[in-house]
Amino acid sequence: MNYAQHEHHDFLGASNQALADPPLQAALTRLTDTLMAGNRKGYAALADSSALRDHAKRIKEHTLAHLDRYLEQLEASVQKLGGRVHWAATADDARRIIVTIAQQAGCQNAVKSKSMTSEEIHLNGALEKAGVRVTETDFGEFIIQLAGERPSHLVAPAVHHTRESVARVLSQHLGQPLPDDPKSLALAGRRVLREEFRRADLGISGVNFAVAETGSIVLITNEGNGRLTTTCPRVHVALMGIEKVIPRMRDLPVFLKLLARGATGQTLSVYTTMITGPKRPGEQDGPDEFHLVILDNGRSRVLATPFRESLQCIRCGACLNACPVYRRIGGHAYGGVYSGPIGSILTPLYDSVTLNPHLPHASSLCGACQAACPVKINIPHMLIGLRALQHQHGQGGHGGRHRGRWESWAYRLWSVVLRRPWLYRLALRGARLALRRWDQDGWLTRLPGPGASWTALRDFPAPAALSFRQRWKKDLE
Amino acid sequence: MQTRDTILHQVRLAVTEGNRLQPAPPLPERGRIGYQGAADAVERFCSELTAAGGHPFVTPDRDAAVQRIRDIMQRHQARKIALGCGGVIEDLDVANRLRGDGVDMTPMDALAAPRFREAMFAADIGISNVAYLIAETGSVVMATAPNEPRSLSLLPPVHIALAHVEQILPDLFDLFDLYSPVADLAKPAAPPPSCLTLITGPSKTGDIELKLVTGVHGPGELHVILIGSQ
Amino acid sequence: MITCLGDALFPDVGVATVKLLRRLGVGVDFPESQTCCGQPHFNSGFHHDARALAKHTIHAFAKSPLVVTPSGSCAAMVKLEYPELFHHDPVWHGRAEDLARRTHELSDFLVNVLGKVDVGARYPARATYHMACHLRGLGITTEPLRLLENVAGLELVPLERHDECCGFGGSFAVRYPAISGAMVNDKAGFVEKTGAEVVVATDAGCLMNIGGCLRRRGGKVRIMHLAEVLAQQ
Repeated sequence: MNYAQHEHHDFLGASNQALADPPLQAALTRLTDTLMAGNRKGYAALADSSALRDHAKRIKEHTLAHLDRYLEQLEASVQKLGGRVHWAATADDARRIIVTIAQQAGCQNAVKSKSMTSEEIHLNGALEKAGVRVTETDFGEFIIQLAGERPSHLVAPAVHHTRESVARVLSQHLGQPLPDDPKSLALAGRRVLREEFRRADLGISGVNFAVAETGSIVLITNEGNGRLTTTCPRVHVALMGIEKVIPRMRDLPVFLKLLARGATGQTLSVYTTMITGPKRPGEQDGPDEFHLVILDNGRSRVLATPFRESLQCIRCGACLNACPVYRRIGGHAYGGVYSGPIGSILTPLYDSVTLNPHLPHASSLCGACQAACPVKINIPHMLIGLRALQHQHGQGGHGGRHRGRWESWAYRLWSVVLRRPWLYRLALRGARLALRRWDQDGWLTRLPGPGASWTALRDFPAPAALSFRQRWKKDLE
Repeated sequence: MQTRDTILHQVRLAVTEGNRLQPAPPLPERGRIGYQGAADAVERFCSELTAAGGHPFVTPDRDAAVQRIRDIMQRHQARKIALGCGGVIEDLDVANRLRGDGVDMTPMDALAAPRFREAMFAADIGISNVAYLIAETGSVVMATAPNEPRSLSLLPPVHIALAHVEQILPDLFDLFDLYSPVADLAKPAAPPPSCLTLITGPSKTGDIELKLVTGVHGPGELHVILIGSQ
Repeated sequence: MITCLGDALFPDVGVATVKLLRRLGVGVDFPESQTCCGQPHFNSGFHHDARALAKHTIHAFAKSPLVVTPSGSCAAMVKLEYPELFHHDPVWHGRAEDLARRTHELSDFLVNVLGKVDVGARYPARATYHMACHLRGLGITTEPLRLLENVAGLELVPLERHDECCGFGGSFAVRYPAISGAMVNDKAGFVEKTGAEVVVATDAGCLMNIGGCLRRRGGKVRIMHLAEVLAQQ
């Protein structure tokens, strides 16, 4: 099985469908407006947030530049406290490891706290196949699981649902009609899930940060399901990508101060939990077994490339909220596990550059993502880098090899013209003459070729009768 | 073992290869960047906790503190109370002073494993001590230990945390410094507890149309009673 | 620096820039070998072509002590991307850094180099301001607004989501007309809602896109470049 199980690679169809879906548009507007207002307010409230974000970035740069060392330190720290460490090179390895842990410990009912990495490896299906019931316990994830869907946002997985659709999904599950107000629905969810926690013998979580120095893993939630998942069941399995490690305990608050501010504008999420090993002697609750699964799944390949910066991502979702494209097409249109600007980098890198031809191009490169990112990842640069990588694969933005070649010749020709001012002047004059017949007081309402998709929606300014350089010569020089 | 070595070997190669493209920076020292601590710690704690939806209550008077607990219990018509041990709870003698109120009071140290779990799932209110409080964020810090279980601040729908104002730390950085070794003194760090949790307000979800609902998994109400001057 | 789009489509912007700078006592020259900064090629991933155009541009401005351009997008290309493009070529990297240091976007030059927020402009109109994306990259967030606030007779009204991209994005507008169209129609809608007669922007891309959309919608709002407003007296 692959990194991304696409139900489609039809980016254009899916995005057009999203654009024509008014309830989805309303939900995306509400979500992105609210969370972006929070992001701005959050950074503004922290006196030197920009310097702290630079600092956080440097910690990540340093860690990635010594990743082998920190991973070994993390492993030793976890083992010292009685935790078990498992290494998974691929998604398949990780699934097999977790299924084996469940079988050896005789676990039958698993509760899961929200983890994008577990989505990445498609864990639930593998556990179910091995006879382990799995229940997602983040409320949004629970809805998604009952509806048989994928999350459409990193931190708000069910944003594409309305109160009516949540009521429908949950009523069907409970076999009784529920009113469609958010409070009743969430509290009905609490009752169902509380029973699942009582019954569960296996808790599966992701990892927001792993501290090499102490072997602590950090979980951040607003609902408290992360705490319940690591408190009630007798076995806890935490799944992390290799990039989640940070060197020291004192580096952790740097990220804690930025993560919630960037994601929602909260000063801190409601629950930040640092778990260091299994339950200790004399303690009344907590798991008897603690397992840490460290997953590569393509990350080390990316670590060696100029796309290394993408491994600094802390999965806060700020770039999705800031992105004018995400806010119009939503998460499902991106086709991968991760959506939005960061998804447009991760999906081509981990899945396939050639099978995801649209993602690097479906961005106006406006830079709002980088401005919102807690670690200031230069997402526009990496999108451009992926475009260049596509050309190396002989491919253009719309996928066809033929088109890719045509496009690269056009750009080449254009650059040849631009480096010869006399040729440039000639070309300008030619364009002016050719377009003259569509000119209506300075604007063109129709253009031929690729320009037609511009003029389908808006007018295009007609080339001026005298270019600036002509007027410079005539009047200004 | 074999997979481990293969992965680490690959990571090592990737690190070397990638470091050729961009030089590896040293682990940066933070200095004072991002430090938010200030003198008005109690005030800051209360305003941040309130902003997060929690209820602070500061009093120098022990009777007023116990009365506050009693008020919360009565408002919720609580029958079953899960009670922590030691610390401020013992100072205030909470167990004995509330015993007459017709509630079923279960102190943590009286519980063996199977009964413990039942009592925790059944409790209406959990009353706990805290390890620290953070003024910057309005958080209470819970450190798991024998008789300081994780469930106490998690399973009951209402959580009352008791603390002295002296337990307030100005900034998040101050908390994590406590668990960090001091290099020049060669002082070993205090090992972190098996579970260290920062709680900042009641449990929240916004998963349905971004409407805020409290108490979806953890407690829907968080009360912090601070004993001290003011 | 008046590069391709400004030269061919919006010559008035260049003329206004020259007049404004001369009015402020700045001597202006226009090296005629300049054509395009290479940003379209760079953004589309044709780094080889972009590098060739960057060399051409660096050459064209080799003798200019200061380079001012009424385009955030060209300024961002020169200041942020040129040095990066020649990462592995010490000679050209040095030249690129040198040009990057000498180059300024117009509002940056007026406010931060000349130290002027009041350029003596007068333009009685109700106007609103759209922030071009490349100013975000350059960290120029308040300069154009401060300049506009000091234009005599100009009534400046705030624009909802003023810093959201208009949907231009070069080839993006042509590749994804539906998404780009949704973006620019929202932008035009917000502009119309302000009741302004004029929307001011600082980049040819925004002028084309927002202006073209406003015109197609049939409204009366005009689009102007900041330089055109500041040149008025």
